Amino acid sequence: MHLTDADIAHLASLSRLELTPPQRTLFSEQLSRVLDYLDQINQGDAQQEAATRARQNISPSDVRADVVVPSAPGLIEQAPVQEGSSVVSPPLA
Amino acid sequence: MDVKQLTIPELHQAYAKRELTVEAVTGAYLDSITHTDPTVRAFLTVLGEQAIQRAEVLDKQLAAGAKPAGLFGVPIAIKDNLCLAGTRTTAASKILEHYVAPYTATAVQRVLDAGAVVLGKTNLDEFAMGSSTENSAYQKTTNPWDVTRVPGGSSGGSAAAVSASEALVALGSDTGGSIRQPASLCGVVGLKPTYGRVSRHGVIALSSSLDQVGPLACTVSDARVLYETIAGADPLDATTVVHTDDPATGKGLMGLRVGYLEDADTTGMDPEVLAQVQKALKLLESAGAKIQPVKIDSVKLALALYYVIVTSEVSSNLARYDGIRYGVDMQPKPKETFLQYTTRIRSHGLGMEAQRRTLLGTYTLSKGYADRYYHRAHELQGVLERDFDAVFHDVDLLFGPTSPTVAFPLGEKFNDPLTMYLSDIFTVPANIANLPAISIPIGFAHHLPVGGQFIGPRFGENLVFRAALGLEAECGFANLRAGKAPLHQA
Repeated sequence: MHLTDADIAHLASLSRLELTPPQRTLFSEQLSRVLDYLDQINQGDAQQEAATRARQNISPSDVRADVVVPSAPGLIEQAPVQEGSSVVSPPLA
Repeated sequence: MDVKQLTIPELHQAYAKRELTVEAVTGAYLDSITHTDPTVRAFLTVLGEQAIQRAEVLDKQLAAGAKPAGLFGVPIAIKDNLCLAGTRTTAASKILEHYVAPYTATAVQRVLDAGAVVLGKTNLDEFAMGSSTENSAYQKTTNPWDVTRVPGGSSGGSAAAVSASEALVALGSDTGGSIRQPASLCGVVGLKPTYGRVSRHGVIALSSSLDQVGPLACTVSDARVLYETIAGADPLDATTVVHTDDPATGKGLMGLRVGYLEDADTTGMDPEVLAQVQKALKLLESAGAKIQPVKIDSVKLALALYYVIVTSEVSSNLARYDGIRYGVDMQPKPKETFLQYTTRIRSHGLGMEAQRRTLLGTYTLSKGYADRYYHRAHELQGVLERDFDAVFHDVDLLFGPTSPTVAFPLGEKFNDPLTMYLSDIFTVPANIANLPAISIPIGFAHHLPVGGQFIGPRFGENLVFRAALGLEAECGFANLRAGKAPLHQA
């Protein structure tokens, strides 16, 4: 699987990342190689029947009650700008 | 007496007999950090003053008749992706450079409640993405056995701190080997518990379906004390469960059925590392374990499906770093749009590996490719779980190498992501199949430590510890520290 320069530019846009042309070239080469490796999950022996995940069964008694509790104090205070219990975004166009 | 050579039980004995104070021990470790860390660079934040204050409180409790137990007076290092209230918590990312955690991770709270003394926060690969700790935005940690080499990663700071006697024990996190691989490369013990054993509340997420917190220590017994302190259900993490179906049946290695993967991919494996693993298998056999070859066809796909799942979850988990709610604070440019602003912040704050994985995860989750990658990987994860479960009908545990090589030189794999990813080839299967696994020192190759790994059945931590304790005794590397290897072995 070859990721072109345009593919990388599109992925960067979706990922909210700004890449320089040399970075796009580098990621195009590196990620194409990685994808070639990852593609083995779609080849040969990997075409076997899917199995049901054996995750532990969690019963309703294992999870906490669905009730509203106060949030951890200080979470809102992490924002660079706050107003009361709100986060204030910087003025943007 | 070098107090830094004492194990937890020895330390507690000395406290109980009033031969040592917690302040003296804490001071000895802080001195060690002062002298050694300029070279090892394991710590991002040292909490010296707080540690001494805490030690004084514990000494008063001792004077009032407290009996040392649990982690009482044990100096501990915490990986910097675990939150500690009021303390800078960066996950080694520039985007969290000024982030001060407003709450404490459950695992950290439990070690505090058990009496531990937190010495500081340790370096890691940014957001725990890496196998060498070179992806940190702040510093490159070195391997205490050879400072021109990596300590492994991503919990490289925690492993190096323990190995260099800068902390008695440490907490790390393991998503694809991030506790076990650095433990192996630094010559210490590291356990990845079964997913669901330890709360992830307060862990800065890398891959939420795989992340697990675990202990690093110099002995299997000390690792176990730390593990038992942090394990258990937590109402703040619904994926934690109470499991009591792990009976500690029997002791020692006698009668244990230990499997090894006969067709494991040993391409790129150092023959001297392989020789140490074979030597350990012989030691297991001579101590009464029954060694038998096993086959798991799907294991060869583990690394590929691991990187699909991880990068997909990374692209989702890292989407929250937009500079608006916390972390890096930059002024908008005139007429800058929201999209331009968050893009500029993320491009400035996220390092190369974080960007690489975000791009890849965006691809594997995007329309037209999600079925081919993300959903397919989950289907195969079920196959891998099923195949491992079947093997555990025939054997009690699996044993093999932790890492294909010893610690590699700094910079050697830094610009080659695929080669770096291959460092995790023996550790990721336990994460993907959701199994407990431990790495312990089993020997040396090229004068550097080699780790061996036991993988146990789901929630079989007791069995894993039993086997590890047995092999530790056979190998003779308990309480190994950098530079203090038994001469005849190194």
